[in-house]
Amino acid sequence: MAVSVSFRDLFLAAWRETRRRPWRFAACSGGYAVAVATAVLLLSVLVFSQYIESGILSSTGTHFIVYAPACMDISSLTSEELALLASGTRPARCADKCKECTGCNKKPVDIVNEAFVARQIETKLLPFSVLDAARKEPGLYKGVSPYLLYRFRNPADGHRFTVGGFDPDDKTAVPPAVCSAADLVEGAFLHANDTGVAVVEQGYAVSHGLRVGSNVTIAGWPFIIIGIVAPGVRPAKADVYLTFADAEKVISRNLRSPLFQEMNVMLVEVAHASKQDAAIARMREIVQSGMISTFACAKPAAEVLGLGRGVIVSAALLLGFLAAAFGLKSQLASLRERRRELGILRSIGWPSAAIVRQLLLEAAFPGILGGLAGAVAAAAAIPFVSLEYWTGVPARVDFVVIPGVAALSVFLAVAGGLAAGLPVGWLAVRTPPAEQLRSI
Amino acid sequence: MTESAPMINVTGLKKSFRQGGRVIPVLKDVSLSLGAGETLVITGRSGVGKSTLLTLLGGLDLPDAGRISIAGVDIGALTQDSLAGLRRKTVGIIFQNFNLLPSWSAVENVEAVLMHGDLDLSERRIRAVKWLERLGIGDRLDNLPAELSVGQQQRVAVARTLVNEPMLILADEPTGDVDPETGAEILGHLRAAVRERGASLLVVTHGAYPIEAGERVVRLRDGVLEPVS
Repeated sequence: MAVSVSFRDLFLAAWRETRRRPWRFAACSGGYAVAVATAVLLLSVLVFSQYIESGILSSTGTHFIVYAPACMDISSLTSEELALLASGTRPARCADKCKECTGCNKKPVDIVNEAFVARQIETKLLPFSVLDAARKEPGLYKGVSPYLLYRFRNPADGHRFTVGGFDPDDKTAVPPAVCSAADLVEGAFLHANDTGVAVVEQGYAVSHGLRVGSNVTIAGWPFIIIGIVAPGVRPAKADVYLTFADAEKVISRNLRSPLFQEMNVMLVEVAHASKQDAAIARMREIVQSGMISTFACAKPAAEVLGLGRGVIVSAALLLGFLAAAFGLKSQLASLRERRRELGILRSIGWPSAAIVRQLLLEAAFPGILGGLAGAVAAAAAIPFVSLEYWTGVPARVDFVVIPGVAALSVFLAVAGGLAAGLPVGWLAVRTPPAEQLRSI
Repeated sequence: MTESAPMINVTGLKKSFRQGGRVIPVLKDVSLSLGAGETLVITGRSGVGKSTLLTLLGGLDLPDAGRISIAGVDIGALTQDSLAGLRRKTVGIIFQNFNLLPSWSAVENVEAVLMHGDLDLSERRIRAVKWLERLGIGDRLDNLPAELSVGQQQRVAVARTLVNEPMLILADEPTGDVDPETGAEILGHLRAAVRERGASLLVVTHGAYPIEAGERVVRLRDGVLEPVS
C-alpha cells in the first residue's frame, strides 16, 4: 500500500493554505517580483555590456609584438671570436647573455647599415620554439605569428628601407600589428604561396615612384609590386612587405649565414583584453631577454567600458539572498501560525516527508508567481533603461531582456522559495505532534 | 499485530511536565491492558491527565518511563514516521477539541486520512461522504469547520476517525460538546465499530458516560488508575 500523499493532494493542500493568507502571499510574491525584476535588468545589462565590450575591444588592440634588443657589444669581440661567429659558433662568453638568440653569426654583412629591427631598435633573432611555447597557452593567446623585419640599404642610391615578411594566411595576429587586405589602397594583397611579389607601403611607394606592376629590387632580387597599402598606425610596419618565405630568402642573402626557422619579431594577439596583463607576463617568461611593445590601449578600454562584472553579479546575488530571506521570514511566520494544523496532519498519520513537501510547495508558489511577474516587469521596464548611462557606450542596438537570464532569475526565485521552505519543513517535523497540538 | 497480543498493553507509564521550573507529575504509574473487541472507559476529573494518557497511547508524545505496546508493537522503539504509519493504519483518535483543519472543508477533513492509501479520488470521496451522511451532516460537506456548529464539528471529527476503520479507537470526550441525542448517536457508531469489526475502544471522559454491559471502567486519580466499582 502506498504511503505517500499524491502530488495533486499536496498541491491542493498547499494552495488551500496559500489562499487562506492572500496578503502574505501577495507580499511574499511581490518581494520575489521586485528582486527578480531588478536582477533580470542588472544581469541583462551586464550581459549586454559584455557584448558591447568584446565587440569594441576586438578592434581596439589586444595585441603586442615581442622582440629582443640586439647585443650592443659586438664590437668588443676579438677577431678570433668574430671568426667563430662567421663559422656558426657562438663565443662562450656570449652564451649567458643570449639564451634565446640564435647567434651573432647571423649578423648582416653590412653591419653598419643593415639590421633586424623593431620599433627603430636593432634586434636579435628568436627561434621558432618560442612560438610553440606561446601556442601551448590558448587561454592567453588567440594567435601568434613569426615576423621578419629587416632594414636594407639600397646599394644603388644608399637609402635605407625596411622589409617585412609575414604569413599572409594569418588573419589573427598579423592584421592588427602589420597590415592586411583591408589596408589596400590599390592592387592585390599577398597570399601564402606567392613568391617574387611585394606589397608596398603607400608613403614609400609615393616617395620612390613605385606603382602596382612596377619592380622593387631587394638584395639584387626584383619583386613585382602587386599592391599598395596604407596600414595607418601599426607597431610592426615596414616599407615593403613580402611573404615570410621570400623575406627569409632575400634577407639571408645579406647575412653571414642564412636564416633557419628564425624570426626577429613575434606578433601576438591576446585571447581577451582582460588577459592582456597575464599574457604579457607569461611572454616575459617565455622570451626572457625580450621586449614587448604594445599600444596598451586594451586594458584601459576594458576598464572604462562596460560595467563592473563583480559588482553586478554581487548585487544580483544580494537581491536573491534578500528575497530568499524575506521568503524565509514569511514562511516561518506562517509556520508559527500553523503549528497546530501541522500537528493535526501528523496526528492523522501524515508522514514527515508529505508535510515537508507540502510546506516546500507553499514556499515555491510565491517564488514561481513572483519570479514570472518580475521577469515580465523587467521586460516591460527595459525600454526605459538608458544603456548609454549604464555602459558608457552609445549603443545603437536593440536591448531586450535576455531569455536565458530571465529563465535563470525565475529559476533562482523558485529555488530561493524552496530554500526558504526547507528549514521551515525541517522545523515542522522535528517537534513532537503533541507539542504542536497544544499550540493555540 | 500478534495473534494473542492485546490491542493496548501499558506498564509503568510515567509522564510529567515542567512548568516554570517546577516538575508536575501527571501520570505516576499507569498500567492497563485492552483486548481486541473490548471497550475501556477512563474517567477522572479535569486535569488529571486523561488526555495526556490518550496522547501517549496515540504515539503523539513520549513518556518519561514505562512501556506502551499497541497491537503487539512497542511504540517506544518506533520512529516518528513509523508512529505516523501506526496512526494511519491502526489507531484513530477523536480529540476533545476535534482538531479539524480549518482551511479544509468537512469532506476534505475526512478525506485527509485516506490520502495515503491506494483509493482513487472518487472512491475516497464516496467513503468520506458516506460517513458524513451516516453521521447526519451530509448536507454540510463543503462547509469549513468555522461554518459548522460545535456538534457538527464533533461529527466530522468522528467521521474522520471511523472512515479509516481503525482497529483501535482512542476517544477523548467524544460526546462532551453535543446534546444527549447526538451523543448517543456518536456512541452508537463507536460501539458499532467494536461490535461489528472487533475494534478496541478506549474512551476518556470526565462526565457522565452511559456504560453498557461488558464495558470496563477505571478512574484516573493522582496519576494512577484505580478500579471503579
